Amino acid sequence: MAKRQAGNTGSRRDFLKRSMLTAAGALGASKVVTAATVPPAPAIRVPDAIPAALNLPVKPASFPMRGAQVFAKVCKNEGLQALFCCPGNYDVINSICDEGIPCFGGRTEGAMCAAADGFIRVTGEIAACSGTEGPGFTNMIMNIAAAGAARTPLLVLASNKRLSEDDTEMGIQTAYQQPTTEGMRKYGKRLIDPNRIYEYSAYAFRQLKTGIPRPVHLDFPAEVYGAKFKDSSELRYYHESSKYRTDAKPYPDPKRIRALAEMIRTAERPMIVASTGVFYSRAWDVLKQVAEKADIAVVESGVVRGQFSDGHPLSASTAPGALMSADLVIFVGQYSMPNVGEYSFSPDAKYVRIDPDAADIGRNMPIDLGIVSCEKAALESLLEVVPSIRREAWVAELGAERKKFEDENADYYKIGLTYKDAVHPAVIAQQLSDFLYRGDLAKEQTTVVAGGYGIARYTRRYFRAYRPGQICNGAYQYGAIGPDCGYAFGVSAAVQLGVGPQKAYRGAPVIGITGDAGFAYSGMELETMSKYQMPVVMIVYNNNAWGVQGSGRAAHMYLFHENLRYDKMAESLGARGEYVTRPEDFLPALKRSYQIAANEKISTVINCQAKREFWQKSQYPPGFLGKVEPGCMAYDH
Amino acid sequence: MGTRAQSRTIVSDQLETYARRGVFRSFSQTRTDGRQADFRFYWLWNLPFHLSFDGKRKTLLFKNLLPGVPARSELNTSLKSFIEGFCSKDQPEHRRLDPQRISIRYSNLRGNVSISFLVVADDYEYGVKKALNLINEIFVGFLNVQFPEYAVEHFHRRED
Repeated sequence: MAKRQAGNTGSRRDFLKRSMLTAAGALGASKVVTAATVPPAPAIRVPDAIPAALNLPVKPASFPMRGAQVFAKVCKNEGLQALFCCPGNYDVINSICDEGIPCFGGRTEGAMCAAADGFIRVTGEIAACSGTEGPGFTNMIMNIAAAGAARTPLLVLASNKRLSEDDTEMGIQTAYQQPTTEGMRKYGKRLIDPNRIYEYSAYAFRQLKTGIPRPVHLDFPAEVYGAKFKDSSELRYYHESSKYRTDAKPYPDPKRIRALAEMIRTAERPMIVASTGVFYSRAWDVLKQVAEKADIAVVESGVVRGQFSDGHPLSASTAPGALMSADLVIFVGQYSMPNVGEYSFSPDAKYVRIDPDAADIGRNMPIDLGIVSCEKAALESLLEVVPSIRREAWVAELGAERKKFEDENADYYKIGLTYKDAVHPAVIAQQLSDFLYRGDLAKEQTTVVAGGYGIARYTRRYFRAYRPGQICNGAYQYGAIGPDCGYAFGVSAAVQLGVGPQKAYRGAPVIGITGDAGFAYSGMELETMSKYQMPVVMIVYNNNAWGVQGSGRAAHMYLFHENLRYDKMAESLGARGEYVTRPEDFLPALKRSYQIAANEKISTVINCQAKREFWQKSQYPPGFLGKVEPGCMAYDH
Repeated sequence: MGTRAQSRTIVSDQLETYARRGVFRSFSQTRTDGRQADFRFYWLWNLPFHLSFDGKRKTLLFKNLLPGVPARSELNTSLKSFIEGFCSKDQPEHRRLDPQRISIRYSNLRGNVSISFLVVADDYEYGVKKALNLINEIFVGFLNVQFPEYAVEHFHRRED
């Protein structure tokens, strides 16, 4: 192994030295304030060094390269779309940045991990997060777990101290990372042989790009990221990507596809559950063709919504009352399977599961037919053999149930408007929905992060998805309420960059919903949104409490100060704030915030002052709402 | 149709079909005589269910199905109304319970709700199917949606 390259090695010491020089330069350029009077507070501003850095040309590495550069080169070649990080793992993140991959530096590694997860969920592309070896890495844990539960192909990177210092506790930040992510990831490796860095980079992308997605975690000891390679002959297993992984997909057994077509033919009310795998395999067009050919209802589930438009007459995502009528249920790409009773289907329904992983078919829910296949390939095969069938009664029932659901939502809204001394969640949900889908905006335009806990029981009912990647399902499966601002940042980055299905909506503002409890975990990322001019409107449902309420002597543990000013917090972080305490003030605040986001690329927190008693059905009907899964309310599976 | 023993066999076979399909887990017939049979199985939310069949009275009984439902509570009133709704013509035909073929009896004894189904026209296949569908609707479509806090308290459903 060669020695470290002299000069800019990306060490912590180099980083601090460069930062101090930059800061000293900035101070020198500033006006000197005399001490005679209390000076006005200096303006919050983005330092010139940030746009200056962002405008620097890319510097793709070429041999001789360090280990970090070899890894970054693989990331570039594999199409890594973005990196979200905090300082630490310097050599690796600097090298990825030099390759021209969009990079974003935030305030906490945890939120940056969520940002990468959110970015992936609405694009279907791979992104990475990174942190320093000990605290930075462990700060990411909650959101690595959330990404694992969501089946997100997230690349988790972290530095690690020198191999030669293993078990010594020399210096700081000793941590054995790989055991920590066990159970949360698909694949993980502490790289210990510098000469195999290319091979393990390939391992990572092979895992990320095949089968059922989940996080991949690599940690880089100093001997590996700092190793120097004169040319490719010093790297073992140095091949181009077609030699270390395949783009081939599993295709379905034609007999089983014909059996499914026959089941569809004999069913009266068939329904497809279009889930995460439909999105990642980009099967939305063929899904629509199959559904239309045989009048099959489609209900969505999973981490992202919009694979099948809510506006389609066959959509059951906003027709929860129709689910029990389905006599044939076809799960397509449902990676997180519900148990019996978790999805609202009849005990008489037959179940078919289409999934790339044979080992998962039959888990939790019994099946009448299993098909091992890439989701898109299975639907393409099915399209060829499924008979054309019209089911007018079924389509009419779906329409009637959608109307019933909308009527119920409208009733909740009317009730919510009667509460004048705080903002009821139904008011937020209905007015937001009207603004996004029934006003001046194209209904497909705005990508939404549907987060929060109690508030989400309302907003999910009113959000609509009309195109792929339009709704990021925040607390999906793992139930973490904290990452919402991180998700919003990553989703906004995806929309600003126009990645994947967000391309047509490039530059549009993003809406995020969170609660006051969740905001605490990642609210500091308003500064990151401001720094990168991300147009996010973050709506904080502030009910002065955690979502779950305590009683008696324990009650204090569930409560916060009342009337906290998260809007002021946003202002102090370089973003805007709106404080809404009356129902009639919400819509004007939303319109202002969206317009400023669109025109000036400034984020806003709309702090909606609610009250915890809104969850008490007896006091404030309709209270805390239940939910039906699958469909627009789903987040368990 | 047929004798009481035949009716018990039909009910048993019908329930076993759900077990074979994987809808029920740990299905067992715990008591049998010429007229009656008890069945136990794990079903919705992995909860144990107990169903009794009385061939003489032509009834399927889920005794003490729901604990902790005060007689004068909103839950009790709403549940009765929800169940009655399944005989309404507002329901799609395939979800409706035909009162000419099955009759529902709701009882609340000291807060324990029992639901029994009288199979009117000896069509036990229909009776079993409709009874199970209604119980499914009560748990998944009613408690889960309208009274989630009850499901949390009594059936250990996840709170957050």
